[in-house]
Amino acid sequence: MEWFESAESTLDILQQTALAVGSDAEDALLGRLEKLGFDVISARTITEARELLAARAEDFALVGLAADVSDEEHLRFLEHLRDDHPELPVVAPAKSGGLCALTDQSLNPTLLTSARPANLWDDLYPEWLVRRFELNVADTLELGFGWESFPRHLRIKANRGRHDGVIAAVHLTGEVVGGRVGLYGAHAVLDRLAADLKLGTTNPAERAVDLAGEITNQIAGRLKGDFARRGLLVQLGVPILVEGTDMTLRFREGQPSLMQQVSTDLGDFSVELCLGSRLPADPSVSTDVALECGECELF
Amino acid sequence: MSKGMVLVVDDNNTIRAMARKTLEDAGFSVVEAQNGAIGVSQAKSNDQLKLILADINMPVMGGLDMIRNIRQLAPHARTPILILSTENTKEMMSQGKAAGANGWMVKPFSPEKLMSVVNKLEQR
Repeated sequence: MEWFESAESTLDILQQTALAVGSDAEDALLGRLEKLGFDVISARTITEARELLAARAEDFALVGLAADVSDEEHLRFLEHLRDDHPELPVVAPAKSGGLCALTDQSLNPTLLTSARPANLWDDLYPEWLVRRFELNVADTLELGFGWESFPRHLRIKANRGRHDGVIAAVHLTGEVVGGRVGLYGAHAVLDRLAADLKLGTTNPAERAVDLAGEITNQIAGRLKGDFARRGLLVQLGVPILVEGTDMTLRFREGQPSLMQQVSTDLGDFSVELCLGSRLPADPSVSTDVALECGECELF
Repeated sequence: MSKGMVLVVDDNNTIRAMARKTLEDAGFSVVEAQNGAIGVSQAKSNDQLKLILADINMPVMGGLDMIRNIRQLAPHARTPILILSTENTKEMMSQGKAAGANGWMVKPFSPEKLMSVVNKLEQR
């Protein structure tokens, strides 16, 4: 991914102030922002938040929305932030802990919600006779769109070693009967695959890491195609992970990321899926999907 | 006797391994690269490549840049290049064609499908 190769814009969270909006009865938002090192100013209501932003938006590094803000209020406020304060990143508490960055300023969350794929897993891997996987990464999609439960799930706890400067670990569980090129899931199958293919590494964790990276890459690619059919150009980064609990919110030219905290035997990590989108303002920009998975076109 | 050398360029170990097995079972020899820069280097070292399989999204150098570079090499001005990618929009495919690729296949794909396309490219 191009964004992956270029220098990312990293927030310096030291001595920065966050605006926390909403009553946040359980202090989920407040606690997480403070844990990240922000000084936090709270606005109990959206009206209060708008007033604070009008008076001193330049003082805030980001805006956090508490879970109690209603959907309609949420959307109107997001549109206000998009129109009047496009420079401000927006985050919300994630279900499984940590924070998730909300959608790009130019994106209507309602549009994404209506555009989510109905049955991604079965459509993507119809010949994949995998059983009992669990897709934790789906939990990261807090606002804008979410995934339905899958009859078969892929558990991804972390991902290691594919990207410079990022360290984590991966564990895949499930039973596999067959699969397509590059897609296998269970340790037992990985062992058989290693024997069949005489793969250089015999470390199950390393093989699982490699597979998790490729599988999530393919899921991201499929999502891009699904959104393109609906007229949305969506930039999806492959999941990357940040080591440890003191993480940095990542943005690249305003592109936010959705994050989920995960716990593994090797420590706590976060799964991060970067999401940015733009509606095609240029008629020459195509969102036409040309090929389905497994298909080929010769030029 | 080998049917020829194929260069497989993908940053994912398993994809390269599966492609290698599929191609070797079909009688090809395989050389691998895990990013576009190494892919260009391998192409410079192997004048007689029958085919190049190229991923798009890779670290260091991506597939499109790699293809453009390889097309500048005299021995590979006409070497068949098949892109293997998760991307599937017309826009991306146009970029691939403009870079010099001869085909585009969307992951995931079966080994049988891969060989079917490889055979078609061989016959061109």
